[in-house]
Amino acid sequence: MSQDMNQFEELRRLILEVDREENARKTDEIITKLDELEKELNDPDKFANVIQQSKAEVIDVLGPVMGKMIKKFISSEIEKLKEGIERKSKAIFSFEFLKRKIKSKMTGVSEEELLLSDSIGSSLLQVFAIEKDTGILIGTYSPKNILEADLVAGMLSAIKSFVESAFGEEDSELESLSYSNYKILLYNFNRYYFACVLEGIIDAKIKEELQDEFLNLADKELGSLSFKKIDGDIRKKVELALSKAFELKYGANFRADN
Amino acid sequence: MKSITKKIVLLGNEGVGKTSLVKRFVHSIFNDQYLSTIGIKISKKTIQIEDTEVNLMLWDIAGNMMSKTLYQNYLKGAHGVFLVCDGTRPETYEAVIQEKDMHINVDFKESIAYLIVNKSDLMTEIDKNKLESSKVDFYTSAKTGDNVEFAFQRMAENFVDTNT
Ligand SMILES: Nc1nc2c(ncn2[C@@H]2O[C@H](COP(=O)(O)OP(=O)(O)OP(=O)(O)O)[C@@H](O)[C@H]2O)c(=O)[nH]1
Ligand SMILES: [Mg+2]
Repeated sequence: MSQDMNQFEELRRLILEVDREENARKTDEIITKLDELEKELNDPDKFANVIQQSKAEVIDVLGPVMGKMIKKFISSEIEKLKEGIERKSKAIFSFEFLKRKIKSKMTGVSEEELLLSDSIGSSLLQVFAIEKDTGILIGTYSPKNILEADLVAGMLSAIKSFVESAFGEEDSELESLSYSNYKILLYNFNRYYFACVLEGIIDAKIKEELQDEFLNLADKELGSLSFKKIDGDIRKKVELALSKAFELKYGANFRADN
Repeated sequence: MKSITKKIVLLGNEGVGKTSLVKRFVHSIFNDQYLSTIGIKISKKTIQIEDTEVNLMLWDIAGNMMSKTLYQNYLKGAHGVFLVCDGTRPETYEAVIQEKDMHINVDFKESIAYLIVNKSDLMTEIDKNKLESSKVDFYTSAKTGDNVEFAFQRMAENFVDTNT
């Protein structure tokens, strides 16, 4: 368990650094909780059981003091922890629960709401279908249209093209970009690619789910369209297909403003 | 209304006024300060040609990237190319002529290429005589706005005509 211990140590250090001045009491509480958790973790028999019981408390304390930085750190630490623990002890307890709890605290979306969706650790903010060569937007879907879609499509394509020509080997394509707690996943097809803007913890399961979704779209709705000249009609059709694919599936998981 | 989207790439040496042309066209502003573009700046402007809404995606490429391997990829799929030079600097004119004849007209035959001589407000008769006027599509000034809108408009009309 030593690696996990280090991670807790680091987590504790980070929380301390950021919040000591403004919130000494809260951080003390966190330390106490983490200490307890740490102790329990040293006892492998009790391990799963105790986490199950105490994690809610830990997170309740963590919640109010979580800044942006910590938010990112915790996301990645949990990702690591989860992998590590699953590998080592095959513990049966659900880290999904923990993630949900944190997420609920951070976003203000109720746990129940988050529970509705399977891909709990992340929210999908916007999807783009983009023509490869020109970088022209074929269609986009987002419940809020957070980003200037045409420009984003162009810039993404420019970045993609730059990376691929500067560092790429033959036939290799850019697959993801990260920024702070955001990640943009790219799914490449022959003449176009999909870009997915996500926030939060992105695990292999989500990536695969999205991959399936896009394969399906490329096969069915988009497969029958001719992209020779992208115009308003094509855009409408693609956006309808995108919203059909993502509205229901990920609707409940879209993040409320925080 | 019908709506189409087209990609226009602006090429040319450093300081010839590519960014200024885009700013003039998109935001109707001009700035005397020279802020060299880093990498690429993409802008968008929508204009209407008859019954078609034309969305122009403008790829303004930094002059210091005038190395074929670097910007080759950005030219991919370009519907239009603006080859821009500075009317007071003949070497920038030579560079775009060369680029147009040897590269654009060879590897990107599908795209419509315009040769733009910018900074017309600063040009003297002597400057003008140094250029082969038959090769020039437009003399523009991002500073006064002269011919800027007209050049983009022409390009857009071309798109509408060829987009059948
Ligand atoms: N007088 C005059 N000055 C201009 C005109 N167009 C641009 N300039 C000036 O020329 C300088 C360079 O203009 P930019 O538009 O930044 O040039 P650029 O081609 O984008 O340069 P890079 O980004 O380095 O490739 C600036 O100081 C502009 O103010 C023009 O039509 N007339
Ligand atoms: Mg510039």
